[in-house]
Amino acid sequence: MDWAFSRHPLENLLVLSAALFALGIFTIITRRNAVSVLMGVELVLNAANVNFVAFSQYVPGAGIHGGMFSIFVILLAAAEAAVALAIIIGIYQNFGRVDVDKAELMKE
Amino acid sequence: MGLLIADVSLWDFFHWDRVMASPWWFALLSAFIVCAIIVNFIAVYAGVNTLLERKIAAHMQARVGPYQVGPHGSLQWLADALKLMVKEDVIPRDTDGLLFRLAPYVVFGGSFAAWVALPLAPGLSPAVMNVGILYILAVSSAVVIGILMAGWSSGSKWALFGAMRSAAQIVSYEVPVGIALLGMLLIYGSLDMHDISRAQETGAPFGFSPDWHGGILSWGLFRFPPFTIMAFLIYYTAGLAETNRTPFDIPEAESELVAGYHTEYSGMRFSFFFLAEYANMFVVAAIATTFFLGGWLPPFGHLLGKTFLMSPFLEGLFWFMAKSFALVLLMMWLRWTLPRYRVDQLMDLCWKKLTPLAFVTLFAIGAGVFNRWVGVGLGTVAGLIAIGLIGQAVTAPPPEGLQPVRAPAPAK
Amino acid sequence: MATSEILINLVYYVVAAAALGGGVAVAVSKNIVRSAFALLTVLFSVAGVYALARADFIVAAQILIYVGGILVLIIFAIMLTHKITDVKLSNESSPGPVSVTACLSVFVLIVTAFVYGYSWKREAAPVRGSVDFALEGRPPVRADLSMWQGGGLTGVEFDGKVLDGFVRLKVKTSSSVKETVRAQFGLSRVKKGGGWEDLPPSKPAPFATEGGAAVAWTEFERLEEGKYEWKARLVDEGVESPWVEFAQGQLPDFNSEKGLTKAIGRAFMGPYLLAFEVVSVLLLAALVGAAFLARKEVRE
Repeated sequence: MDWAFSRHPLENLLVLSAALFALGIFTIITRRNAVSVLMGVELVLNAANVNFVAFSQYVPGAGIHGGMFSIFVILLAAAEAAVALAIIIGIYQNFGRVDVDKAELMKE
Repeated sequence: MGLLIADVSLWDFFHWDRVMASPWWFALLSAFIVCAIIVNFIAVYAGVNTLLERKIAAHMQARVGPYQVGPHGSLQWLADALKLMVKEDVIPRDTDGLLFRLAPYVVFGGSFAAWVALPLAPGLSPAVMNVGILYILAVSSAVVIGILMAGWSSGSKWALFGAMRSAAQIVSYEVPVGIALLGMLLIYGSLDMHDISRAQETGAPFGFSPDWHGGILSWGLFRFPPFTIMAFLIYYTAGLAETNRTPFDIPEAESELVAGYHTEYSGMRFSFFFLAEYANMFVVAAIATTFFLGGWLPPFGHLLGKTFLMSPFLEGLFWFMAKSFALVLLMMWLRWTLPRYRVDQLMDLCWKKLTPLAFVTLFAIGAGVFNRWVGVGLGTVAGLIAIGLIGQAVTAPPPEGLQPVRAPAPAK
Repeated sequence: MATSEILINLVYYVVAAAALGGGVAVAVSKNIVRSAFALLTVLFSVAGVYALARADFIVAAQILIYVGGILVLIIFAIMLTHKITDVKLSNESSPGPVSVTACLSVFVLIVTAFVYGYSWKREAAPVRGSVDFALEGRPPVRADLSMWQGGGLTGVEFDGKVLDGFVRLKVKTSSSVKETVRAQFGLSRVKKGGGWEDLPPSKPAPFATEGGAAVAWTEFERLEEGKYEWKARLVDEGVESPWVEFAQGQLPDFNSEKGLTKAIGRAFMGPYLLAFEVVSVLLLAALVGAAFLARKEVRE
């Protein structure tokens, strides 16, 4: 098996991260519940993190900068999730539901 | 580097490189065997723990507790375990099937995974990790998710409320736990649990004479008194709250009052929650032992491997287990002594009292590590303040208006 | 494939399958709570992937923050934004052919253009190139010397950091070598009181062909933490070439460290200090903002 993880770790991880990214984008564009959209965003961020860590660990001379960046991404994802969920709870209190297609008050 | 810890260790046998160089099925088999040993130990330990809890409760309340099964009721735990295993498996109709069945395993998995990184004896740990303590804190977060899963999938709003309260409690108390341990990590300089235990072999309080085998005085508890003692108390209290033990057992007490997150569970699934709780208690006690009480070290210097048992490995194992069990017994003792906190008092205690105090200890220990004379200074100031406060609290007159209660005279 | 490789591959493919399965469940499941617990699977699997890539600190950070923080927040938000009587919380989605095609094409584009269309496998620059190994009675063998993180991970540069004490040293030559020639590596370490001490040299390793050149390598594992220097020589049936060192003098070739934690700590207090402080201020702002936004509106 020449394409296995132990022979080509970088390519395997990049394919995994691309798949998670595509699934995350699919979640963001098709879901109607705002919390589900947020879950899609988390999938996308995790895919990017896998990418960063893969390059940091498996490309010669890359140093730890990929790992550092992925730690910052994790921290910022936490901050963003907190604020986004607070906003979603605010939307629920005002509209009674968190359907992203129906929260269109500004349009009227 | 402690020379007491002999070269005898199972490390050479269990090392990852040797396992990786062996056939893949051998590696998987050895991992499986290690996990099976741990799970069996947890099961027996938790079972005996339930009996011990009932016996301690009984003797503290001037009664005898379970007495029928076995001599003095000592096999009661076997009877309880058998009963739970043969009970009918009831799954209510309104539950979400997959999540309802999965939740006990997620909760147990979180507690069990933390056992893997405990430093049981010099060189012995099911998995030696560079980031031991961080890993343990991380996988203990899986317990919260399992509790939420259990509460939601039970399909009853009381279970859901209980689960959300329990989850909020655990997540809140992770903050003082982390900060108290962070202060100690400043002293030890390593996240590896074995390095932390080894670092408590030598050294005097405040960091003087780093090569002195001080025995009990070299332990983490006395490195920067009184701040390390404060850190220990903060960690132990917050750890009590993490495992839902009294006085913080609102989520469990609700099962007496209304319902808790495991109200719809019966039989073997219910016993998994209890196994997880006792396993969690041991992990909290084990971390406290490793960070504050010297891990596997005996209380007297230079004696590892030279007293009874004649082997550093067995002796380290004995002392580690003894100290952890002592802390677990303390948890049980507290359960039957203290009344329960209300949920708002609990949150108030965490955020307004324990967390600021934990930050103060972190700052003070950091200052002490930076310059030991600053540590001595801060320590004496804090010690004097503490003695003053305690003395004032102890000698204060009772509040006005309180009269001893006398029974009314019996009506003639 | 070596038997130990089977285990790594097995673990990786199981973990990757769990991640992808969880991702599909997040994207497609009709029940939002199941979606959230599938996200749990994805987060743990991604942590497993980091563990396989030997990024140990990031594993702990991922589980602690994502599972212990973000996922708990998400589940609380789900429970707070639905009426308490809904047991089967529905989660409508509007998939259509457009979205499916778009995502599939994004995936195919990334994989073909960036993963397989570009060669990521750059050979690390040799640490010391074109050294001559003089064997008696034979023309000297010209070779390049390089250091790799063990397990085939990143190449190590001069005075670089090696994680987990796990180093692969390589001799690569384009000239032809006899069958019986072996390469032997020796390490010396800085002692605690200063000064260098020599470690016993490795067993001589045979040359194998790799991409047109002959390569011999040895892996040193479980090196203790410290500064190391190394040297190499060729051995041929008892005839030994003199040792060729890389660094002459007091410079170490690499520093051995256990795990990523110290390196990350040094980076946080070094080049990333400003970012660290800014992120902490940002977290404070997010904390205050979220607490403010989620408060119950007091309707006058």
